[in-house]
Amino acid sequence: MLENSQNLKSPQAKMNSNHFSQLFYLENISVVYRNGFKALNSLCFTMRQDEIVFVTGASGAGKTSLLKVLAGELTPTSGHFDFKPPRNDYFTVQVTQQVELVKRKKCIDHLYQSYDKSIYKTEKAFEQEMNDLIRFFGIDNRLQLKVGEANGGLKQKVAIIRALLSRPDMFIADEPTSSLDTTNAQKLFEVLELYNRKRGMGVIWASHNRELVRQFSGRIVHLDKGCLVHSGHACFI
Amino acid sequence: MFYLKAYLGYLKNYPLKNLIFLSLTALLLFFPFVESSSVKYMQRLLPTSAQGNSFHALITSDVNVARVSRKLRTLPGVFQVISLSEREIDSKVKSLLGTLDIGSDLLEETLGVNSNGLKIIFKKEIGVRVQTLVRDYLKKLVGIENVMIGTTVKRAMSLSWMDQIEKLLKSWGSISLFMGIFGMWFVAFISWTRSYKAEMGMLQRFQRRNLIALKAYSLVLAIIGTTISVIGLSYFKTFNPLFLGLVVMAIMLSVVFFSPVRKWQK
Repeated sequence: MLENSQNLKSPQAKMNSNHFSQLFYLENISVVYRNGFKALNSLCFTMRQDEIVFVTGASGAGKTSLLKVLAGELTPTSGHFDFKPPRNDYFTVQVTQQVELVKRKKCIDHLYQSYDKSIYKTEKAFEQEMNDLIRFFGIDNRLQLKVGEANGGLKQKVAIIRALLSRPDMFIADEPTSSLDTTNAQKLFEVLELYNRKRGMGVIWASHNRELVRQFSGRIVHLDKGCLVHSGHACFI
Repeated sequence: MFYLKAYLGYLKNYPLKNLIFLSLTALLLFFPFVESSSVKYMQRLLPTSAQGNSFHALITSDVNVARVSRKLRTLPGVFQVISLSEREIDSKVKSLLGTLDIGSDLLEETLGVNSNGLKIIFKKEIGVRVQTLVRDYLKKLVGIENVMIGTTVKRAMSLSWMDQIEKLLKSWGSISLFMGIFGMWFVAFISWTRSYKAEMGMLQRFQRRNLIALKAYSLVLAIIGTTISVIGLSYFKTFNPLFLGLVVMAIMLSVVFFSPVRKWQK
C-alpha cells in the first residue's frame, strides 16, 4: 500500500500523497452499474475526520453513488479506496433520501432505536439529549403520531434526530433537507456544526441545492456526470 | 434483555403476523399429536358418505312413532331414521298422491294432518333383500293399514364424490394435512421474516453491536423451538426428530436470509 502511494501519478493523488492522515482516500474511483451507467468516473477525493463536506451536483451527477461508496454500501468498479478510521469502534450513520421509518410505528419509538447503553450512561441521559434535539427542531408536540400520519418534514426530522442520537463519528446525509424549509435547513446545519466542533463528528451532506449550501461553512465538492469538477470552501466558489 | 426488548417492540407493531406465525409453528411442531384426531375430524365432516338408499314412510298418528323409529334404528342395515317436519310431510303426501293419481284434496289434507313422517336411510352397500326385509318389518311393526311406504330412493350421485374424498382422506389425509399446514407455515414464515428483518436491520443501523438482525432472529427462533420442544417432551414423552430438523432448517434459512445484512466494517 505504501508503494502504491509513492507511485501515484495523478495531480490530485500527488497533492494527497500523505493520504494516511486522511479518513477517506479515493483515487480514480469509478462505479459502473449493471445497466452500463457510469455513476462515478475516475474520481479523486479525500476527507479528514473533522471536516464538513457538501457534495453538490445535479440529479444523476453521482452524489448518491459517492455517498454509498463512502458508507461502504457500494464497492467501486475500479480505483483505489482507502478508509482509515481512527478507532476500531468507528461509527457511521446515514440519513437517506427515502427516510427509513416504519409506517405503523410512532415517531417517538423510532428515536428510542438509537438508545445504546454503550454510549449513554443512563436512559435519562439519552432522553435528555433526545428532548434537547426535539425541542430544537420544534417537533415535541407531534412525536406521538404514527409515521404513516406524519408529513414529510416531520419524518425527515425524526430520521435526522435518530441518526444524531446514535452519536456517530461520521454523519452521511443524502438530501437531508429535501422536505425542509430554509429555516429548518439552517437549524440542521447549526446542529451538525455544533456536533462537529464539540464531538469531532465528520459530516458529508449531499444536496443538489448549491445556493443553500453556499450559506454554510464547509468544503464544497461539486460533481458533474460522475467527475469531480471543483473542490473548495464555499466562500471561494 | 436488549434482544427481548427488540422482539417485544416488533410484537407490538405486528401482533397479528406474530400470532399467525407462532400458532402455525406450534401446530406444525405438535403435528404428530393432532394428526390422527384431525384426520378423524375431517372424516366426521363427511357423515353422509356412510349413507345408502332411503325410503319415506307415512304413519298414522295413532302409532307411537318414537318407538317405531327407535326399533328401526336397532336394525343392522339401517344407518339413520329421521322424523320429518310438517312441511316435508305435506310435500311427500303430495308426491305420493301424485304418483297414485288419486288427486283428492280431502284425502291429501287428512293424510297430511293425521300422519307422522319418517325417512329411513339404509347403510351403504346394503342389498335389496335386506332393504325389503326392513320395509316388511316396518309394515309388521305398525300394521299395514297404518303405514304408507314410498319407493326406495337410490343413493344420491353427490355421495359417491364423498366416497372418493373419504378414500383420499384415508390414504393421503395425514400427508396432505401436513403439507397444507407446512405450506401455510412457510407463507407465514416468509412474511414474518421480511418484516422482522426490516425492523431489526433498521435497529442495527443505529446500534454499535454487530449483527443485531441475525442474532435477534436466530435467538427468537431458538426460543420458540426450545420452548415447544420442552413442552412436547414433558407432556407427550415423545419427540419427533423431524421437527428438530425443522427448527435447524429455519435457523439455517435465517442465516441465508440475513447474510447480506451484515454490517460492513473495515
